[in-house]
Amino acid sequence: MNKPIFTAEKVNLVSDKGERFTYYHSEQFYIGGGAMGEVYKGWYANNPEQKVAIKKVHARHAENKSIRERAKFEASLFIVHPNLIKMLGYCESDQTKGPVYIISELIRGETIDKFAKRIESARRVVPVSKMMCSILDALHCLHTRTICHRDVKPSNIMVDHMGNAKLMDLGIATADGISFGTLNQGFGTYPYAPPEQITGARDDVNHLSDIYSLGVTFYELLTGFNPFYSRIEIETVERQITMPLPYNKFIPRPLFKVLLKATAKKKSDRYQSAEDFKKAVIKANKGGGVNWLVIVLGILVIILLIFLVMIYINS
Amino acid sequence: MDEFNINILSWIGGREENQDSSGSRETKHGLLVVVCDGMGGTKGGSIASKLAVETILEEVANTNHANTAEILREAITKANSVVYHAGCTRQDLQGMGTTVVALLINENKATAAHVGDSRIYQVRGSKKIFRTFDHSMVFELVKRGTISEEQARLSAQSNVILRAIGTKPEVEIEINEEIHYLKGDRFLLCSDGIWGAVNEKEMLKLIKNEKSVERTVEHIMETIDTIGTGTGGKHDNLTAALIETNINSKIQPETGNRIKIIISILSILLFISICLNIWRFIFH
Repeated sequence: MNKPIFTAEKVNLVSDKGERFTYYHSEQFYIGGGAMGEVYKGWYANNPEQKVAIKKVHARHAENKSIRERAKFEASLFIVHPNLIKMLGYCESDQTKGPVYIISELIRGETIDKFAKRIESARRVVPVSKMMCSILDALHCLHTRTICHRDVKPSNIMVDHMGNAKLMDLGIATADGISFGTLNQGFGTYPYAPPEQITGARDDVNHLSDIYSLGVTFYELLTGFNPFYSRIEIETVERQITMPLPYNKFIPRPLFKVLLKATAKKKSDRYQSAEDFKKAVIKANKGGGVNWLVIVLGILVIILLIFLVMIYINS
Repeated sequence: MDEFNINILSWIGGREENQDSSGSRETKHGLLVVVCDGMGGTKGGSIASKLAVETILEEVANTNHANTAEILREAITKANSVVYHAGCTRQDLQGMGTTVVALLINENKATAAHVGDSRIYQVRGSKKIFRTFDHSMVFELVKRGTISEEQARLSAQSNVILRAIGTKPEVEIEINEEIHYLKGDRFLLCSDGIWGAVNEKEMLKLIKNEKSVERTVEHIMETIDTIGTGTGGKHDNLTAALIETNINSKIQPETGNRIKIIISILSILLFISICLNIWRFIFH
């Protein structure tokens, strides 16, 4: 993504809640860019120490009614959860024209894939699982409010300076009963998109789609690669529809089984809630609980057999 | 032209603006019909489709090329350049684009060109003779045998197209150079607002020649619009252009060699049989 042309202009904004924010349209405050716009570091006008992230949705996109609605919907998600980015409101100078600004808390940290890559592959299971469980909590929180994220992927999960994972970018999230019309662009990101997000009707995408995407994200964080990615986009899409999750030695077998279930091609074969997925991850990582039971029972059976043989010989 | 009957209609559907454009023109190369479905921005979509239709009609009318495929290729390439440059010069039009389907039909044959997911159907009675293949992500999956056409039509991603006019400096155009037709054949050019609303079987039923060309197009539009209204009323723009042929194309498919051999052998056998029967009749 090319960097924008910076004007160095000071931009003052008033949110829908009447709060004032400021940022400079300069490289110094530029955080990053996406298909729809750019993100800048800004602050409360009355308290420059209190930093915020300001996402500017370009006018050429924001003037599309459905994109404008989506942006406002994202900004209106006032959900307080330790693993969800906190939204602070939106700003616009006109209800139908010009850019829309989405204000959220500023997370100081790095994306979870960068965090995971700094850990040796064989040692990733515990820290990554812990963070994935936190994100499953965040998803559970969204799902209980009938909100579906629809774009869960490593670059949408930040790890803050306290080591806390936070899910962000609800730009294409939808709530039940809210429709954003038709757009000439795909929803979600193909290397993480479940089959129903590609081949299904719009209504087919629900909270189980987030479970699939998180399963793929989890796999990628543990192994360092996306199992469905191909440089040819259509191959990526085809793999999402047909290819089961391949086994990788860096994932312990019990945890791999959990990821296999989370990324099942049929929605009904997946965990039916984020909570169930989390419980399965915890159980798989307890490691050997079930195996020890089998070993102890095996020893008891062998002792019993020896005992019976000795009785038989003596008689 | 008396050789062809034509009717075009374009309705807004359930949208705030009609971003489809269409047009036809009698040229020295034959009857040209174009349908475009624009996308992007507030006004970008309608401007892109309008610019593309105007450019193609103008270019085809003024070219001295003789090859119909080259005529369409040049005209659509020019349209791509016009839309792309318009999008580069005005910020509010940035990223605009359009699909295109164009049919150039004369007494010899028909030539079809398309980019994106607007379609051309050729129907004989209620049988599909020819149809363009969408340049869309889901139809690539159909080509690979991963999903069915019906799954592709119903997919939420069915409108994610892989090629468009005006979004890049260059465009790849798919051309079907030599389409033969018989008297009574019908060609329907339409945007996805039409074909996306019904399955293929229903689509062919709508096109078949039970009614006049004028009435058929009206019936198609009314049927699709009613479906759209009944499913929330936010349905896509709909454009349909129907051409009916009153002649057989001069160029017809050559009979295959195998069929020629079989017919020859049967003719010889028939001839021998007749001779033997005459011989029997005379001498017995």
